[in-house]
Amino acid sequence: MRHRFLSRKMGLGTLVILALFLFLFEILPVLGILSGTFLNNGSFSIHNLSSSWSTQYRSSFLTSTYVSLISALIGLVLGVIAALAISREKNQGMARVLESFSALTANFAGVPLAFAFMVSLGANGVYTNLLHHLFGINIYAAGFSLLSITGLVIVYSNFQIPLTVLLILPAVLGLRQEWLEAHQTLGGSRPLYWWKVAFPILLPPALGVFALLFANSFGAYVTAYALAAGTINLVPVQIGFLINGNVGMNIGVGDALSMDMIVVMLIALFAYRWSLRWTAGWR
Amino acid sequence: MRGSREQHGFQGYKLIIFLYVIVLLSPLLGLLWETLHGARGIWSVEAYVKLVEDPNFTSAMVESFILSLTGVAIAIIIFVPSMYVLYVYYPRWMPFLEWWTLLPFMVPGVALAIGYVSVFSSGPLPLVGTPYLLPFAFAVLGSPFFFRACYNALMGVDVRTLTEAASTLGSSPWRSFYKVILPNLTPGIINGSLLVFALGMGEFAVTQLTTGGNLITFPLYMDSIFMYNPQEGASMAFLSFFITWIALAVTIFIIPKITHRYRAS
Repeated sequence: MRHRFLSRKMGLGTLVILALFLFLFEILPVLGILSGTFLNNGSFSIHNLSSSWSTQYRSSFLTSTYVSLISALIGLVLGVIAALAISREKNQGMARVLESFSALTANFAGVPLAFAFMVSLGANGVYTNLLHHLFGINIYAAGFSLLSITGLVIVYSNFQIPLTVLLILPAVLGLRQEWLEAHQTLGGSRPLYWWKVAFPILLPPALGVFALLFANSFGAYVTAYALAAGTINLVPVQIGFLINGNVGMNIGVGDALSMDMIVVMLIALFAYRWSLRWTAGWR
Repeated sequence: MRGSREQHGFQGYKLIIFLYVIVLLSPLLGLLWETLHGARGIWSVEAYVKLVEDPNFTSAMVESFILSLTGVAIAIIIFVPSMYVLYVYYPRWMPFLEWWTLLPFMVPGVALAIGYVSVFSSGPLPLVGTPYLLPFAFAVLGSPFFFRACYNALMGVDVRTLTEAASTLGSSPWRSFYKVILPNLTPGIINGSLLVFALGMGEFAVTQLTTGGNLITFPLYMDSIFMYNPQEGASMAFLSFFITWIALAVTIFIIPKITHRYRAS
């Protein structure tokens, strides 16, 4: 009996430690962002919040939204095509290797990814030089730059495409051979099958994946920072500037920008959860 | 039916798979070429030898290694016993914890960093500017993966039955936890630990923004050296991939095999 009492106390002890950890390192910083956003010299104010929407930062939101939308769109379209191709691979071992390859490349991000692209497609990169010497195509003379929004979209696509493959593959594999056969038995054509059967089935998970890709790109800081050291005006890069500037007054605006960003992330993640529920509903 | 479909069906999928692999691998191949050949015009592993000889690299690597290992230890101490207690005695609270561990997906690294700067700059816990905050941050950032790995392990070995069996045989709950449950959870714990470790070795945003660049970890050193010495920077980038990929490959290929063999026996 004594044992049981003691262990119950110890059991609750582990939960207290967990709660303390979550409070200190997850809840408290979020509360810090909230108070930094709404408190100005100890009193409630929406000054920081309205500053975060001023013209100075509006362009960051536009750029972040643009980069996230385009890279999510490219990731989704090319990723779905790749997933459809992988789903046709009959060799189970090969399919598993391709899935693992997608998991590995989806984690290819941050400083190393930025450097890989700089030595590959930078002004003096391997492929830039190769294109110039072999085919006489000078992409930099043609106006391309890796340190631009276009360049950033290309870099982000390198992890958005395999992430799409990972997330959409279960839905693609869920397309049953019998449905195509039934459709064809009833006299349907292949394009009609894609339009009337496969497309409506893949649409909800695809929209969910799109939301997740958007969030994935919207919160990304390191890749953009390492690639262009802040010359691309993204929301996370602006927040980084405000922290590194160490100007006490500006931390509040950084908090407000962070809160705006968290709201965007929450909307995208709830859209993803909602799409999962929608998909689970009719399966 | 099936045969005719295969004859008339679209067979270009192999080309698409080939393009998919080649395009995604090309930046990595570019990186490898830069480190092994580059502008020198000859093939050599000189860039990697120089890396090992650079004392700043060694100290950055050691710094990251210690911080990441500490992060792993924190994740294990905080999550493993508490998840076991929740799973066996308060299962209804498990989804609550699962929601909490998803927080790093909702609060991006920069936002978490500014939150830490707001809270820990002064007051009773002035952790900002010191390395002590980072292992906790790594445990937070890795918690979605660590939670998943341990939760799968808890469900996989039927921990409730094992706990009951052990207590029926007269073992105290904590003795049964250490002697019976923990060994069964080990593959899941290793799996989660590897992911937290790999994350810590590559973590940049929170490290840079909470220490103001005073602490030189592996990714921060990589970023700073690239401008002066692209080849060394590129070698470090390749090494960084290598560490992440090894950790992921072990969790993808080796851990499931161990677990499978264990269950089969």
